[in-house]
Amino acid sequence: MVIRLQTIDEHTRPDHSYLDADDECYYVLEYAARQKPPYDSTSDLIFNLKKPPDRKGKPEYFYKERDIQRAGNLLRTVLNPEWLKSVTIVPMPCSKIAPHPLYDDRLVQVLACMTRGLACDIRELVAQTESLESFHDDSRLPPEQLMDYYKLNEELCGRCEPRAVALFDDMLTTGSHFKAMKATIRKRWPEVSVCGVFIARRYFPKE
Amino acid sequence: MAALPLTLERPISPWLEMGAYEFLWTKAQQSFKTIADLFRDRENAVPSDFVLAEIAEKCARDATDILHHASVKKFGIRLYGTGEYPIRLRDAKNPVQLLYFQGWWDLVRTPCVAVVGTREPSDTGIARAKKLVRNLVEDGYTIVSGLASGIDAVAHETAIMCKGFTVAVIGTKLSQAYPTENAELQAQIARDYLLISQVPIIRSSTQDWRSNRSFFPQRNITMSALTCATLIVEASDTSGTLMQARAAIQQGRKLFILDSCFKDLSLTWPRRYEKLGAIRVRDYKDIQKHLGNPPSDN
Repeated sequence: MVIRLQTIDEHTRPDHSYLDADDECYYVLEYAARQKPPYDSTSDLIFNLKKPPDRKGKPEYFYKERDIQRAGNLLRTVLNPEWLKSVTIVPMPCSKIAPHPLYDDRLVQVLACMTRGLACDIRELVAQTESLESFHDDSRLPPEQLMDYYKLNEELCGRCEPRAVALFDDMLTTGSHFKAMKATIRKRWPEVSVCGVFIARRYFPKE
Repeated sequence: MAALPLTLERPISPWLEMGAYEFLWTKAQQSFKTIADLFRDRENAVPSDFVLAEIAEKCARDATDILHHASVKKFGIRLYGTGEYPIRLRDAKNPVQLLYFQGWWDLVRTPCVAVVGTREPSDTGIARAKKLVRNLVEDGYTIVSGLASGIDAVAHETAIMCKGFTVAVIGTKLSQAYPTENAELQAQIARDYLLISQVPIIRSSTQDWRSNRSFFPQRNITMSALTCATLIVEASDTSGTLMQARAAIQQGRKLFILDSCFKDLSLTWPRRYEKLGAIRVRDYKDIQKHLGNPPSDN
């Protein structure tokens, strides 16, 4: 069976309050944030990916490393390799900047796994100016405010004009992060198309 | 976007797929078998491959309106060919292509056992169902049932009371409870656990209750496929529960039948299914033995 990518549509968009109808966003899985997700569920995968890097070396970290590979392989199965080679792949920046102890390069690792053996243009085009509270908690900033913390990585921008940009993140929550990244990139390249690809989107199980 | 396609099979909008699927169901004589046949012929097809986009959108809107008017504001869609579809549903003879749900989908990833039986159980039947559900919950199993009156309702309620998980696979559309006395339990399961329906919304809203009756046995087939085992507490020779017994055997699932069913000599079905591979349960240990090691705590 081929696993298909799903688009954020009229039905799912209300779960991601900052997204508009003209935002092109795709996802593979859906997860609901709960305290203790069942083993092997999508929420468990997301839970493992989010394990903070300061737990490295502890037994539980094994699951994070395993699921980084699982997520990368999943995206690799779903996406067209020719398409991956044709776009500029941009990971969403981590909410913390290195050398912050909670700086997490999990997404870069997922993308490395996804593009293994493919000649792809992966660039961390947007950098953050200072560490923020985690993007995935309730204190998430709106896109306009997030943009104040974003700057283009000039060294990487200069390498060559980005082709169509595919922004990658592990989870889609409010969509604020995506919107701020898209706006930051469009400020420099107004014509470039920007889409978002997410391993999972968050849904709300309760009314 | 780039000239090259993003994926080898085009990305899909679950909502439009729902609309296309709903439209397929508006055709007279359509059934789970005819729909399954349609997709059997084209392995990687999705409903929108058979329906014009504007028709799919109209049907998606109509179906959503029906649910919204009945106060079902939030619901999810699961489609074969997407990442959250439980592949074990394909073990059914005519597997469902699309499902609706409310609540916490991850529960389908927990080890699930179906506990089903008659709508008119005896007092001892109720007591046995409660005890077995308690045992199964203690061993880490999620209790799946069909939200009918009788054993089904006892199974769900006991699972909740024991602080376990429960999943209801209903034979009506999401916005309808049958029997109505279980409406509150259904709402609780939709809110705190998982409620699943494979019943097409527009079709079931436009045909009468007699035609809708056929959806009930169909959900038993899906329930069996969703679980690793079915446990029958009490059932008559003409019970709809036996549809699930047959499905369990066909799908290679474990089928447990309580000893008390065998002891009722007026019944012929327990022996019939025992010959087909069903397991006679004299004690909970018989279930444990066949289910293997209890799952890790969830």
